[in-house]
Amino acid sequence: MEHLVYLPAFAQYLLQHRINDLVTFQIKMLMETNIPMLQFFKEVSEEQKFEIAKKGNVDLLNYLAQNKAQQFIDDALKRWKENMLPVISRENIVAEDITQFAYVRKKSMVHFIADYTSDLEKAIEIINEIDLFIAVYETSSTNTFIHLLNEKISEDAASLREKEYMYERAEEITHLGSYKWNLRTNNLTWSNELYKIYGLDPKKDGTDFNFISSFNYPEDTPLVRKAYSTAIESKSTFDFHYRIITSNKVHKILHARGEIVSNENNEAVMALGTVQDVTEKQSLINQLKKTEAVYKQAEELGNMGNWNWDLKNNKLEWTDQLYRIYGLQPQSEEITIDRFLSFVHPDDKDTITKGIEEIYQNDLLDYTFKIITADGKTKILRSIAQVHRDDKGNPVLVVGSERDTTEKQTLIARLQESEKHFKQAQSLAQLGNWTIDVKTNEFQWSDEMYNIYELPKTADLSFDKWFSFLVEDEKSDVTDYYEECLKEKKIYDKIHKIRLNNGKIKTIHRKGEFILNEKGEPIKMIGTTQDITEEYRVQQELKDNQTFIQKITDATPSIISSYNLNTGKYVFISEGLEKLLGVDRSEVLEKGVNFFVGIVHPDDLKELAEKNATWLEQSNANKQNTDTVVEFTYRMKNNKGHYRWFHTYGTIFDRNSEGKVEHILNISLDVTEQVEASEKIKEQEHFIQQIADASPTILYLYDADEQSMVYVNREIFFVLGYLPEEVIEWKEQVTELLYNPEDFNLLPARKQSGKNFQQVDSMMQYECRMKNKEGEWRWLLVREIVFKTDEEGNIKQILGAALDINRRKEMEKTILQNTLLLEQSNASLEEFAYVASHDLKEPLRKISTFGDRLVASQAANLTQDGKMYLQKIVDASQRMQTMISDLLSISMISNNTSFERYSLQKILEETLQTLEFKIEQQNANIESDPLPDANIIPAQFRQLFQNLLSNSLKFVKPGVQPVIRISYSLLGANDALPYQLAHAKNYHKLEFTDNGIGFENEFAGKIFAIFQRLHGRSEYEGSGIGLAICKKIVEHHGGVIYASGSPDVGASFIIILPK
Amino acid sequence: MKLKHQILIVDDDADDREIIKDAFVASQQDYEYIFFENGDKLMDYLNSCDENNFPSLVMLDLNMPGKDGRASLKEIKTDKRLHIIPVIVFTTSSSQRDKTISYDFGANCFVTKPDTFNNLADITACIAKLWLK
Repeated sequence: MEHLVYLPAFAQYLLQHRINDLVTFQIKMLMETNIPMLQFFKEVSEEQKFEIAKKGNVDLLNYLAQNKAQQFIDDALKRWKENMLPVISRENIVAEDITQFAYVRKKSMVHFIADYTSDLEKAIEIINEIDLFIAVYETSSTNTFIHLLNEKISEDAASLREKEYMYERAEEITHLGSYKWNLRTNNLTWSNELYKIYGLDPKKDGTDFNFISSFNYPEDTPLVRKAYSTAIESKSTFDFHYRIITSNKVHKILHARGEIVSNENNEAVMALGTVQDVTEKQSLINQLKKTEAVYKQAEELGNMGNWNWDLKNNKLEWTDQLYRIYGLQPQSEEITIDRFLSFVHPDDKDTITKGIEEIYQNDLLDYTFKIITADGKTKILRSIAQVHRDDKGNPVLVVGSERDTTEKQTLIARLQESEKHFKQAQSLAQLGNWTIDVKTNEFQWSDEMYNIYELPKTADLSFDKWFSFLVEDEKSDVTDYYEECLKEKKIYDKIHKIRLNNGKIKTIHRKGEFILNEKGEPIKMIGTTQDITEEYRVQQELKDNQTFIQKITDATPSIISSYNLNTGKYVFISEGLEKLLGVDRSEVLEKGVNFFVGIVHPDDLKELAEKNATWLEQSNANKQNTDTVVEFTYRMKNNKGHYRWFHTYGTIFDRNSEGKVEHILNISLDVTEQVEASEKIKEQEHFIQQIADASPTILYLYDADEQSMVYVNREIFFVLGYLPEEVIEWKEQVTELLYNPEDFNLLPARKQSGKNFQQVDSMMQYECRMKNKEGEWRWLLVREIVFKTDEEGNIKQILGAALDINRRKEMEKTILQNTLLLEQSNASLEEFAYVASHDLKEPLRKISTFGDRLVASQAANLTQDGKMYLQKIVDASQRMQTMISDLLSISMISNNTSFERYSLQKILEETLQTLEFKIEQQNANIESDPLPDANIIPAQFRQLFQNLLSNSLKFVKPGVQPVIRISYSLLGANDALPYQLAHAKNYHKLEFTDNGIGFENEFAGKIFAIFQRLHGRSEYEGSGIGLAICKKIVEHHGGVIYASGSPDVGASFIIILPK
Repeated sequence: MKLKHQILIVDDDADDREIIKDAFVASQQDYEYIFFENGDKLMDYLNSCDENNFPSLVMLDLNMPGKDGRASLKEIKTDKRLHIIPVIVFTTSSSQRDKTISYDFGANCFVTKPDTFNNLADITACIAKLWLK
C-alpha cells in the first residue's frame, strides 16, 4: 500500500482539524449499527469511550499521515493478538465487529472528504484509497481474527474436552437433595444435601415452601408454581429447572424432579422430590453453546471474501480469501469482471449479469449464486455489496463480500445429526453415572442409574441398600475387588449381577476411578454403570453357541471344513480330520485344498473335479441360489495308506461383492462301512441272481396281495417256454393262465383256492399241472414257503420252487404199466415154466423108469456094453429130471408170497435134521450163534440153509473134520448202505463159513449162476443150481448174498436181509 | 370077503398105469389090479360096488381129462359109503397146493411120482405094508 497518494494528506487534515468530529461521528454511528462489541463498553462512561475512540483514531491517522498504512495494520493487529486492546479482551471481538467497524471507519472518514477538498477527482481518489486501506485492513483483521479464533477454539476445545472429561467422570459431583412437601400443612422436610445446595443451615433455618421460594429467581417463580400445580392437579410427576440465588449470593441452576402422592380418596397429599444442582452442567452447556457459536462464526469467516470494484477504472480487487474461495492462489492473477463472470455457474449467469446492472438503481446488493471454482468445485456464494455514488448519483465504487455457504449448510445438518446420534447413543448405552464418597460410602446417582436399578428417582438409597442388590454368591468377591482397587488406587472395572426388587437379575458393568486428594489418598470414586444384561446374555449365548458348535464339530465323526475357493486356503477344519484320516489340522491349514487332491483315489479324482467344476459354474451363474447342496462320493487315503470312502456335502458358504462364490463349506462323512456293506449286498444280490438263474428249478416270488408273480427266474423259459417278463406281466391273471383248474385248490393263498399256510413257517408241497407255451400240461413238483409277512403276520409274499416232474410222472405211468405187463408176463412166464417143466418131466420119468425095468428084467440078455449104454441113458435122463426140478423150483420161488414171522433158529434145526444123515456121515461139526426170528418164507429158507450146508458138507477137505460155522449179527442202516438194499432200520447178517476146499475168489460171483459148476461132475455131484436157488431165495426176501473163498482154506457165504 | 386085495389104479397115462402095477408086482404082492383112465369111469365102478366088494386101495392121479382126480377124490371122500376106501393121490405134481387140496379132500396120502422105478417099487412096498395087510 505504498502507493497511497492522497490519503496521507487527508489523514493529516483529519488529525489536525477534525479529530473530535470524527470520533463523535464514529461513536454515533457505532451506536446506531449496534456493533456487538459495544456491549463490553456498557459500563464505560461516555467520556471514557470518547477517549478510547479518539486515541484509536489518532493512532490510525498518524500512521496514515506518514504513509505507514500497512504498518498500522500490522501493529494494530499485533496489539489485538497480544490482547492489548482497551476494555475488551481479544476473544470478545467477533466477525461482525470487524466488518462493521471497518464500515464505520470508512464511512466516518469519507464523511469529511467534502470538507477537505472540492476537487471531485481528488475526492474520488481519496475514497478509493480509503476503500483500499479499509479492505486491506479488513482482510488482515479477518485473517487475524481467524487465527485468534483457531487458537481459541483449540484452547476451548482443549478446555472443553477437559471439562467434558471431568464432567463425564464426575457428573453428579453436586449432591442430590431431596424433600417431602406436605401439601396440607405446607410443611417441607428437607435432606441435608438440599440445605447445602441452598447454603442453609439445617439446624437454624426453617423450611416452609414460601421461605424456600424466596431464593428463586423472580422470573422463575411462576414457572415453579405452574410445574407444581400441574403435577398436583394431575397427580403425576414434575420435572423442571429453575434458578436460585443462595444466601451466599451464589447463582445456581437447579433441577427439580418428583411425584405427587395421593391418599385413598385420590386427593393429593404429598409431593416427593429431589433437587439437583446442575449449575456447572448448565454453564458448561452454555459455554458449549457459545463455543459452538464462535466456532460457527469462525467457520463463516473462513468462508468469506471481500472485494471492491472500481467502476471508473473498471478495476476489480479481491482479498486473499476471495481468491481461495474461487480456488485460486491469492493474488495469482488479475481479476476482471469477465474473469469473475467466468466462474459464475451457467444457471446463475443471468442473475449476476442482472445484478451487476442493479448497481445503477440500488445501493445495497444481496444475491446468492453458484460458482464453479478453478479446481472444478461447485460452491454456493452469498454476496452482499454496497454501491458508492458520486454527487451525481452515479455509481463509482462497489464494495462487497462473498460468503461460501455451501459447507455451512452441510456442516450444520451434520452437526445436528451427530447431536441427535449422540443423544440416542447415550440413552441406548444405558450408561449411568455415579460417585461414591470413599469414607462415608454415600453415593449419588444419575437418572440412568435409577433406570438401571428400576427404582423411582425418589428412592431412598444407602450403601447397604445398594449392597443388598448384589447376588449372594458375588458379594464377597465384589467387596474384595473394591478393597483391592482402593488399596492399589487402580481403575475399578467389574462385571457382576444385581437382583432387582422385582426379582429380575441384571448383569452390569461398573467402571470407576478414584479421585485422590493432595495427599494422594482416595476420597471419592467416580464411575459409570452400564446395563449389559442383554449384551452379556447375548455374548454368553454366543460363547455357548460357539462352544457348542465347536464341541459338535469336534465331536462329530465328520470333517467339517470351509475354504476359500480362490486361494484354496482353509478357514476352518474340524477335529474330525484327525479322527478320520489321522492327519494333523496344521498340515491341511498349511497346504490348503491341494492336500486333499493328493490323497483322493486316482480313479475318483476326475469325476470329482468335473462335478465340482460344473456345480461351481452353475452357482456362479445363478447368484441368487445359495441353497444348493452338491454331494460327492470318493475315496481318500488315510495316514496309514488305506483308502476309505467318504461322502461329502458341499455348499456355498458366502460370495464376494461381485456375487462370485468365495467360500465353500464342506461336511465329509466316512461311509466306508456303508459302501462296503452295499457292495456286499450287491454282490449277494448278484450271487442270488446267479443262483436263481443257475437253478434247475423254477424259482418265483408270488405276491399274495397283488395275486401275481413279482419275480420269476429264467428256468421258466426252459421248462414252460415263457419269458419271466411275460409271466410277471400277466399280473393277477397268472393263476388262471398258468395252472390247471383242477389243481387250483392245491395252491395256497390264491383266491381261487381255499387252501392256505397253516403256520407262517410251514412249507407246502404239492404236485400240479402248468400249461406250457404250446398249451400242453406239464407236471411240476412245487414247494412254497412264506417269504414275507406284514406286522400283523398276514402273508404278503410267497417264495416258490417248481421242479419239472413231467417225465417222472410219465415214467411213473409207464412203470405202472410196465409193472403190470411185467407181472402179467411173469405170471405167464411162471405158468409157462411150471407147465413146461412139469410136462417135460413126464417123458423123462418114463425114460428113467423103463430104463430101470429094462435093466431089471433083461439083464441076462444084455451084453456088457448094452448094460452100459442103457445105464448112461438112464443117468442122463435122471440128470435132466433133476435139472428140470431145480428150474421148476427156482421159478416157483418168486411166486411164493407166504412170508411169516418164523424163527431162523428153528429153520436151522429143521435143516440140520434133514441133513442128519449126511452130517453124521461126514462127521461134521456145526456151530451156530443163536438165530433170531425173521420175516421169511420158511420152506424157502429151509431150502436156502439146506443148499448152503449141503454144499459145505459136500466140498470137504479130505482127511479134515469139516467145521461149519453159522454166525449172526444185527446191522444198522448205515452198515448196510453199500449193499443198496431196500431201506430198513436194521438188517440181519448171516454168515456160513466152512473149512472145506474153498474156491478162487475170482469165481465168487460166477458160482451163483445157474448150472455153474466149478468142478467136474465126476468129482462132485450136483447140478450146479443150488447156489442159484440160494441167490433167488435171498433176493426174493429183499436181501443179498455173496461169497468169498480161499482155496484149501474154506468158503464163506454172507447173507444180508432187511429186518 | 375077498381073498385078494383089489387095487384101483386111476391114471390117464397107460404107461404110468402099467408102471404102478409093475411096481406093486415087483414087491411080489398078489393083488388084483383094475385100471381106470379117468374119474368118471372110476366113479361108475365104485358106485356099482357093494361094501363087500370095496377095493382095498385107490391110486389116484390128479390131472386127468374129464373128471380129474381132485373131483373124484372129493366125491369119494364125501360119499357116506365110499369114504372108507383108502385113496392115495399119486401124481407128478409136487405143488404144495395140490398137496393141501388133496389132504383137504381127505386123501389118505399124497405121493409125488418118483423119477426112477426103484423108488417107485420102494414106495409101493411101503404102501402095501401100511394099507394092505
